[in-house]
Amino acid sequence: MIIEAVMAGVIGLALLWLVAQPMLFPSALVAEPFEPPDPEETPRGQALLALKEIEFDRATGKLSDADFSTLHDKYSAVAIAVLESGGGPAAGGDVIEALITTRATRIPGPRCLTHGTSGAPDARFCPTCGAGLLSATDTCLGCGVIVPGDAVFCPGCGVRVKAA
Amino acid sequence: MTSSRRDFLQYAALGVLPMLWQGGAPQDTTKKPGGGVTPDRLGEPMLGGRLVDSTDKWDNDAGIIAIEQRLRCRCGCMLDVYTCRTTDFTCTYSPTMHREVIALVVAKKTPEQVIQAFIASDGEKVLMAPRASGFNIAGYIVPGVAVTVIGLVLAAYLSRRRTVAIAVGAGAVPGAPAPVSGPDQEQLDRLKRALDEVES
Amino acid sequence: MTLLGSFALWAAFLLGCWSAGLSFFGNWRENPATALAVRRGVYAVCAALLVATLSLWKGIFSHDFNIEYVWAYTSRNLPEYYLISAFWAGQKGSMLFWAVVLSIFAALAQALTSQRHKDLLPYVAGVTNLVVIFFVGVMLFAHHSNPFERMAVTPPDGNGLNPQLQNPGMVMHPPMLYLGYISITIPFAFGIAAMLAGKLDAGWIIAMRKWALASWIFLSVGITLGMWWAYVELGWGGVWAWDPVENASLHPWLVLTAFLHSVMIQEKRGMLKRWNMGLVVGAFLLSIFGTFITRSGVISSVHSFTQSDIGYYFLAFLLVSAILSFTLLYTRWPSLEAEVQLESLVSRESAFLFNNLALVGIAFSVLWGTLFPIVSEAVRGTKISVGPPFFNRVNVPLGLLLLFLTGVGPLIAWRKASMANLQRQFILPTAGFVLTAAVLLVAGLRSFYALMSLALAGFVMVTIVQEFQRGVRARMSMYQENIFLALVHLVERNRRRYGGYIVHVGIVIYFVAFTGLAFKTEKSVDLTPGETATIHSPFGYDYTLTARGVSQYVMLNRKVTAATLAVTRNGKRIGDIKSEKRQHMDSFGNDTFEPSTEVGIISDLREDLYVVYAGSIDGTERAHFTFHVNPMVSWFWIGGAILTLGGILAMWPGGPQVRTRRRRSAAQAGYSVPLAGVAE
Repeated sequence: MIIEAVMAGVIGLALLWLVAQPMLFPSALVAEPFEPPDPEETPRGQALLALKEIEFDRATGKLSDADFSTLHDKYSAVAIAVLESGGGPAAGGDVIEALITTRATRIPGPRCLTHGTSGAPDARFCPTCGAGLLSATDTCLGCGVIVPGDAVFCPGCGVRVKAA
Repeated sequence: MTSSRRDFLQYAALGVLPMLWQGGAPQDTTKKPGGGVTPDRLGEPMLGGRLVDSTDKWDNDAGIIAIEQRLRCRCGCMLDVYTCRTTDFTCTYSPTMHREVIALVVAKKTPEQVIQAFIASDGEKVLMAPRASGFNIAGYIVPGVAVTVIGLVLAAYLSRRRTVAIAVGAGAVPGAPAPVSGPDQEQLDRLKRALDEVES
Repeated sequence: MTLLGSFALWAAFLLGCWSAGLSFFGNWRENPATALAVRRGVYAVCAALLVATLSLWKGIFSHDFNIEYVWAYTSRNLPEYYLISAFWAGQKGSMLFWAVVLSIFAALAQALTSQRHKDLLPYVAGVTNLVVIFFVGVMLFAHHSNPFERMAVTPPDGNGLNPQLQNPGMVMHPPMLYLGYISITIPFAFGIAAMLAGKLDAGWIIAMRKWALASWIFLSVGITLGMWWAYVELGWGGVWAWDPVENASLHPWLVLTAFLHSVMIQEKRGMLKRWNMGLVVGAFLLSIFGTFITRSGVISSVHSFTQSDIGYYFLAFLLVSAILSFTLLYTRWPSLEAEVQLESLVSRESAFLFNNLALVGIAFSVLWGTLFPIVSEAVRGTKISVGPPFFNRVNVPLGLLLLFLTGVGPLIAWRKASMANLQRQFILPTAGFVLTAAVLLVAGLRSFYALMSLALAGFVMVTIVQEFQRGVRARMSMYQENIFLALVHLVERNRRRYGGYIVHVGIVIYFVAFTGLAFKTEKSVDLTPGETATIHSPFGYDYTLTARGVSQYVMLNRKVTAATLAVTRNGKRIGDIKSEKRQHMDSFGNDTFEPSTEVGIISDLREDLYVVYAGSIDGTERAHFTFHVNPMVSWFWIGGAILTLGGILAMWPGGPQVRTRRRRSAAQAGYSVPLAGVAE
């Protein structure tokens, strides 16, 4: 009975620690590695795969030549539009570049907790209030530690991250 | 050679397993077929549940089986009388219903009259499936009618939609600008390079 | 270990509540620490429930009969492997099983899903946690539902496990089906999360599609094992009786099958977003409805051994989930507008729409039949029964429509096809249909439905073969590959499509097996040892069975009365067949449960000889037997295996759709980006 109670206590404390630890010690957080989207999730991948599929369907005899040319023209136009709009000079390059492009469009630049995204991509401090800027993943640009949402100072290097 | 329950349990407790007792082993394989031999008694006749009746000509009678397959056993097993009496040998209801059916057939009732007699005594729930009459027709036709109607509506909607789609010329990607003029050679080359890098 | 077990249940409940609250009301969008805390909450609930599970197993394996559950479902002489299955044999244990498995799935969903879906994952955690705490809450608060409940006295031996559950099929069938039911929660949670987060593109579908496929495989395996169990254990020589509980497992399977097809349209075309959301919510609600049917006993069923008063908790949960989900769907309705419109009525997309209609139509029809006794009684005031004749009459035509569409879909191109071209695609499959029908007519088959079913099976098989053949040929000409490489690449580069076709093969085999079973023959006879009976099979064989006698003996936990028969087929001896009556007993030799019957089966690819020892006549060795010859039954198990393999192939990880030849450039440029699922 006592052994069971002790086990229950130990397990209970371990579980509590497991859930409370990230909130008690946010500085120990490690930023998640970036994972690229599936090609099917990107307009570029979708457009290219659609064209490939149309070619394959013609090769297996499912698409008549007339249907193929209609669809091919239409989806080529779509794919070109995607390459033009999303790719910039790198478009037509490889998947990695496309991924980075996609990612880059999603990442806001360095931002101030009070005044939002502002300034040049390489800025370290907010041009409005002078507070330290955070990356998109909420890490302090000064020391790389994750800054909790309600913090006024960075828990890693102590720089002010919110306007006084 | 005794086979009292106590001995039986002693053997069991001693771990003499499997313990054959009484003349139960698959003996007498040399017996000639159709032998007319008096069968030996089992050591514990009641071990396999209740004793069963001998088969008679009615047990395999196609007419009787056809009737019984339309009637649900009263035991609550969800099975028809025929399946229940040939499956759940602990059930005492299905043999009784079997005899009732035989009695009615012997009394020169038609299958329909037999069924009616059961409905009269047990109510409609004795039927394995409700008669397709009155409200119960709905039970049979609602799914089929629903699928047919929705299918027709869907086909009509899609063929109407098709004309709209052709008129509009929808793109696969939201926000992708519809090409005004054909793509130039440089664009086509770029597309080709991109496609070449997709292995499929 | 009941103290630890109960403590673990409470810990899971409280941690689950806290974590769910944090995921719905926490500031995890701004604060990654909160998001991590939510995820850790899921892991912690899982850990707590694993502790509870181990505690219950400890009780079961140490024969602690003071625990009511252990007493009710095990005994000292129960074979060890059935001690494992005793965990889910009863309602309390199966509630814990459900909760722990769901928590494991929820933890896996958090751990395995890419962090690029981090806008969804905390909501997914919230939904899964709510479902887990419902189950744990029922165990903790419903009357007589805690698996760790102790009794005032300790009986010397347990009640034992229901003999019908003492079967290898029953060790696997319930957990597989449960895994199917339970794992539906994950796709459902992703759907709800997408609606809550307002991210209604195909992202949530890509994040959860393997989960949907996994649940579908679990359900398929569970249903097939259930059929096997019914066949070998229940003794009526059939596999499917349209029992309400069987039907309840079919509903989510059908809806999930429809979902697996229609999500492809959303992924490729951005269409059917509302429909897909509706299907995934529907599949989840139907899985809960199945549990409600099984547990509540509102509809009588052969599975009545699972009945209890907790059914109404499920009804309440079902209603609350339905109201919340559909309200959410209603509020997101405008954002679920399709991105494009259908290009052609003749296209794979529209074929999939009709396939969805057929699948959902059958699901509705089965549900309608299951509930029709209640409807009819409400309208007419008279009780009626709805049995297999009803279901067959209503569903066989719909099933044939579905089989036909199974063949049609693959023949049509995505986006657009023209009639003239389609005709060319249909030549060989139609020839397959006509040829099969002609051969069967010549062979003397006159049943319309059987003829249609088998001829359509021929049609679908030809379409599948044609798909593989043309795909290989296309690859050979497009990429200059040899035939083997082309086949390997064809399947490898599009595992979902070709895995799907293999699933179709399994489905076709199922249809053939069901059709075959309609031709079973049966006969009841009495035999004294030495006497002989003959049964004629639908394939034209004569089986001669000679009674060899009845023996009685004792096994570990049962007393057996076994009847043995020698069997010849067309005069050639093929072996002995044995059918038993079993009286189970506890370790003191006291009888437990009613006597049960074990059938004897000699099986080959054509047909099964299936023998049931019905009982003794006048207490002698003269025995009453029922003989069945069941055509094509082996094909159920073969079809089930093929279907499962196809499903596994479709979800096998790493099937690349896009590769880059310049993948080294990442390293050259001095940075590295993980490319899981893309480059490799």
